[in-house]
Amino acid sequence: MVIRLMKKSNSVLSNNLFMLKEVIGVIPLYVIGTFCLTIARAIVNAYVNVYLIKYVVDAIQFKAQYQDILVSVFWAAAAFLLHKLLESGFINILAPKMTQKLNYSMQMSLFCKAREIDIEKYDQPQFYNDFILSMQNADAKAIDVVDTINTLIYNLTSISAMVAIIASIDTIGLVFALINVTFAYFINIKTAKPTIKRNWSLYRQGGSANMYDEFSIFLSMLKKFG
Amino acid sequence: MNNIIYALKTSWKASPSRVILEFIVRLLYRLYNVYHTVFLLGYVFNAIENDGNVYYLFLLVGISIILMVAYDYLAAWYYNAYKPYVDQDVFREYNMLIYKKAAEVDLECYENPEFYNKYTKTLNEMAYRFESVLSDAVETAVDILMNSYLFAVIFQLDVFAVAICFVPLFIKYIIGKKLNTERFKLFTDNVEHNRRKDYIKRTVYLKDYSKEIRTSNIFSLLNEKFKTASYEIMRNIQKYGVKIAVLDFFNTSLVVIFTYFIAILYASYRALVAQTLSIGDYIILVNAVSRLSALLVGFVDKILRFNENSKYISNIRDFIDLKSKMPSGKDHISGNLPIRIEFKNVYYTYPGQVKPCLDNINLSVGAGEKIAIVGLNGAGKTTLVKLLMRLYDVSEGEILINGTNIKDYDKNEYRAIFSTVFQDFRIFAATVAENVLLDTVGKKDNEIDDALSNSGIYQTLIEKCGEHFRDKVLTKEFDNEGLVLSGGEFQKIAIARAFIKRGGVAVLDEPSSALDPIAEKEMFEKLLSACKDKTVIFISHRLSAAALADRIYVMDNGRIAEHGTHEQLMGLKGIYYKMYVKQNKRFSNSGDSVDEEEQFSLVE
Repeated sequence: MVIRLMKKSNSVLSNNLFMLKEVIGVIPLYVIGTFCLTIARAIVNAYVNVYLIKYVVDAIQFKAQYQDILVSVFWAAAAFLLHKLLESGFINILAPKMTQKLNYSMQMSLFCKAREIDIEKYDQPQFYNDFILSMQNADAKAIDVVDTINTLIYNLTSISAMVAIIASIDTIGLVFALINVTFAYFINIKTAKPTIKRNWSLYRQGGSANMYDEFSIFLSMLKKFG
Repeated sequence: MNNIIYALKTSWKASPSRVILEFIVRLLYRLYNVYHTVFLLGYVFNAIENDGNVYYLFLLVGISIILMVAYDYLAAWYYNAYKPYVDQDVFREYNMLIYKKAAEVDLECYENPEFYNKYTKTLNEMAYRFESVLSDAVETAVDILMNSYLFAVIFQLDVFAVAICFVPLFIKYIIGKKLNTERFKLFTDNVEHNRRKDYIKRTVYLKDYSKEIRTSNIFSLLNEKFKTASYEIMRNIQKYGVKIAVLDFFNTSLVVIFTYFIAILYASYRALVAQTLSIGDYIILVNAVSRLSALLVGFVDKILRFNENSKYISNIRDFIDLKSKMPSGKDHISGNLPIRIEFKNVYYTYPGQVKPCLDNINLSVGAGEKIAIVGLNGAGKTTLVKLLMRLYDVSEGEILINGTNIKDYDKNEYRAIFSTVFQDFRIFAATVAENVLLDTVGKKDNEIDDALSNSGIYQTLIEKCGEHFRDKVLTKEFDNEGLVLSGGEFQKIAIARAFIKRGGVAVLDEPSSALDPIAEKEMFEKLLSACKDKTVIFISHRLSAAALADRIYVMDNGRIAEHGTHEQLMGLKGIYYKMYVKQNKRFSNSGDSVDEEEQFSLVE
């Protein structure tokens, strides 16, 4: 069981890494830019939404100078604006051009591959469903992989920033946060499985998703609760 | 506004219960959000500051958890179980709107790239836009309720803070509107290039094109076209990208500056300098201002999105409201009557072309008469048949059926009098019976068998699939066990369609191109015998088949050059004679299975 799970995890990891390598090979700047901006966003968000509020509440509580609040709000706003400026440029100008480049490059190599496939393969619906449709959406899936890793990076950076802030206030608070994260992690894993199964079965057969629904409801409820 | 109402009506018609539930779930979400971020936090801070009762604090937190769990259960049920299930019906309803229309529009539209762009845009966007309008409308209704409530709360705490909430509203409206316009322009400019890329993607992976792609240089051409389309899209991104980026920056950042940073500075001033706010009230004020601003901005966003969606829905409505350029008449016609056909001074020019494809055509076909139309490629034979079937309308002149202009007949009734087999016939991924009937199958086994027998494929099907061949699915598109036949065999299935339909006129546009001369002759003999009472028009390149007709029309360069019986035309020694002699010479020289004698026997 454990070996099977490990094998499965390995294949998931290697598939995602394979896609990531493909993307890095064609548009390395896209990957670097996306990840850097994400890390910056996580830090700016933690600074603006958590640290700034703590600072201002402390300042009010301990009757600090209003000028101190003005300065800290100014720096927070400056950090926010700088990040937003870079992000807008990246999302609206660079990223769409780079994804076009990726689309072109991946489809070109897949077109060549498709030309090599034996014609008799086209007579197998299973082959068509599994490979041809996947090939058509390969570039979109590649971007999905980058987005997923991006989300992971955002979460990790946010968590690190939060841990630093919480630890600076009260270390006991970290225990609550840890319980929450552990609980959410297991619920997330459990919820993802039926959702993936359902989506896969809908994709393959166009069937109803009802068989997994009750379980999904229960788990997503627990996840929120966590 | 009309477009939005149209989209909402369509969503309501598709599933009223879903619209109601969507409203309830979103309202509860907003209510809980405001309760949690504004009141609960404010209460907790005030309790800490004023040494409040811990028991009440715990009770309140406990109740909040119960409310949250109850909401989450409802939302999880709605989004995971109910919505995906009902969406199948809803999306089917949306798509049926488009598919029905696509089946109705004039054939001429399919030769117009602008139509294709609009059609593609409509199909791609429809479900998403309708959904977006529904969720925006529901959220707008919910936001109005929440805004009024938060407005009252802030008004009680600080009148000036209300002003802070309204500033982003104007920023968002002015900049957001410009941003949407630029994005729409970019989207529209890219439609054609994306459609080209999609076409190439589809083509390269489809079986229909696989042989040409493997045996010719078309692959390089497709690659080049794909590259050009990608390049054009990048050029458009370059063209609009900077403007969109600048607008996007101001659109987001100015709003946050006012709703968040200015709100913090103002509330801090009141708490620290003016000392008119407690910490709890400070939290309530900052959160309420930021929430109300967000809701107001969201409100404007939705209005802008209504505006944006309206542009797309306008396309959808344009498509659905597309009126045929060939209006239907009111007269009734039955396929059971003997049908007399007359072309009077008919001209036809394809859209965008100058030279008429049909040039002053005059011909008449008596009831029950069998005529053949022959001529070189591009002579206008197929166009003539398409005009007869009212797939296109004549540019000049008129076509009469039993003395009445075909435009006066009900279009659908009129088209139903024809049993047609086209040269570029299509086999559907459906059963043999469904492919013959081109309809849902009732209890018509005998008719299907007779039709297949007359077209010469019955025995082959029995041998390949046994007695239950009628239920055998053709092609392997959806079935591993699907039946794949040769080109000639598929053509015979298509020809069977002409035997099964009891229209008054049989039209066959080179139905026998994939058959050998013997099979072709047999097929025509059977067809003419089965269509004794019908008027038959057939186009054939093989003059041996044409000779079976009562009369032959020879077309050349869009005109009728000669007409008469086989013998009369041979006697004329004109185009028909030359074609006939050349064809015979080719057969006799080829040394194929059909020799000269056989050719002549076929003619005789």
